[in-house]
Amino acid sequence: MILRGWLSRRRRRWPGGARKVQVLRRTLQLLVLALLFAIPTLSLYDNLRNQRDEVGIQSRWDTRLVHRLVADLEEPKALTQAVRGSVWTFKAGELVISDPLAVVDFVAASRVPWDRFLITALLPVLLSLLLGRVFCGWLCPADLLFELAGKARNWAGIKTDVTFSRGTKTAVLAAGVVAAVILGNQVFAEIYPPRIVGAELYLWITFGTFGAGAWFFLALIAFEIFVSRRFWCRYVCPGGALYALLGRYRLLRLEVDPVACTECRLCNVSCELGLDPMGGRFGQDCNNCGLCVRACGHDALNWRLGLPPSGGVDRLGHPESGVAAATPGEPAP
Amino acid sequence: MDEEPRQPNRREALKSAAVVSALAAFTRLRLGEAESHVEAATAGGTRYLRPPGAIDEAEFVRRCIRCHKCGENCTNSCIRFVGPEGPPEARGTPYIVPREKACILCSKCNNGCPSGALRPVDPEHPRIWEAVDMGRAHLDENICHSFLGYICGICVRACPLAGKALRADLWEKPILDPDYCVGCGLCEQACVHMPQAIRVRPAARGVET
Repeated sequence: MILRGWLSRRRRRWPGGARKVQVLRRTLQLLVLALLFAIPTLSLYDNLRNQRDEVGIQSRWDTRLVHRLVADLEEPKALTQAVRGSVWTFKAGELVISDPLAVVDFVAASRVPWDRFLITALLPVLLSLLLGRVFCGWLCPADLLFELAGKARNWAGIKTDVTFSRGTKTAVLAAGVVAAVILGNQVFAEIYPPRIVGAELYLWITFGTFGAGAWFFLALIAFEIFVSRRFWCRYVCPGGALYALLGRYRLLRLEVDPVACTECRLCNVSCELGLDPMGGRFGQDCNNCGLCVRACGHDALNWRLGLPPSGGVDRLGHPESGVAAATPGEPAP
Repeated sequence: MDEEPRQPNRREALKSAAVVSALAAFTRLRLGEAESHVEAATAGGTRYLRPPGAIDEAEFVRRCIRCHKCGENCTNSCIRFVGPEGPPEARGTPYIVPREKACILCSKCNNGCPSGALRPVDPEHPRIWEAVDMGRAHLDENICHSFLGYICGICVRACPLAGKALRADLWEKPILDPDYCVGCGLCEQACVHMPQAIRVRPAARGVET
């Protein structure tokens, strides 16, 4: 395979499993992004068809394509009405899944302690309790774009990196909840990138316009490229903060094998969230993306399923203050 | 626990505060002002014609999660969304401009609403005027063709509840019955006068006017 050859030239002794995990992760992310394009198009086609608007369908390439695909089907609606929504709230058949942040926003703004809507966040909440911030690393459409921004940053060789406190995102979450309660209006919807990506794609495909979110998102991308690496996901995202809190005692964790580790710091460099995998400090922010596992040339990082470790044990036997801080210098490429 | 070690200091706290304030500024949260978003939404200044099944405006603003699903489900493509030019409390919420495209009461929007901002309505409801209250049509007799001697009656033909909400008097003069009018706006869309002689005013449910 060309891909394998290309990849193995960059990193030798690549653990095959870790690469497959990345292929799976990218596939899922791209699938979500593709769905965010497909759902508005399918709904637009479905509605135009309901209005018997043949001219409308034929006047756009995307609805024309959908028409060519489904026109001959016996039950075209089974396909065109199968899925609706975005990652903010998603509907497949009778199953409705909502972002826990949407539910938090809803409860805060409406001051309704219980509603049927709360059940729709059950699945993501359970998933986060068990696996941590997996939404962030595996499904979030904005994460994919932010990772691309990070790559652009590397290509351009931009070194400026203003760092913030990781606690900022928890502060944003708390401030947003307080604001929503006081105002009686939902505040996260406008600043939450995964929702913005879905909403702006819907507005663009359906009405040919963008909302304020598009500018906000572009500004974020620019900020991440030129000022602060992975600014949003590391420091600000209220959704990430919520998922991190939920995943604090998660069962799926990464673990360092102190015997195999050569302290090359490739894992720390690869971590998109700026964590310290080599020091074993994944914290609640880890989204189990597995980039560090892939980066490790010595198979020293692996997933472990089990209860969270007790106490702040540094598995490399180094002082608690951290290995990363004590070993300056970049690793050899 | 296995938190990353961090030294909280004044500089970090200031930067965090700057980020939070920047976001608050972007969302135009008027925390300093006395009026809340809900009060602003129901103040009567800006009122939108909401899709059928919408609950009281104050509750609607609280409950709508801005997911755009009602718009995706709208088989008639008549639902629009308040854009960045709109007031902050209403941004991203659905509304209808009947003069451009009126609601056909298919109720796909409210049956797909996940958060209860739109309550499900049975589109086949035999007494749909009891289930739907979007607004009321109002007639300007000074410009209505039928009242000026040009026999028209197109609004009566367009009304889904013709004979109840809109009846035709002598020379096709429309007679409105607010008890039956659901505010779908099909009459306003159909009116041949420019500007329209019949208009829907959004329901003032839960709004003090």
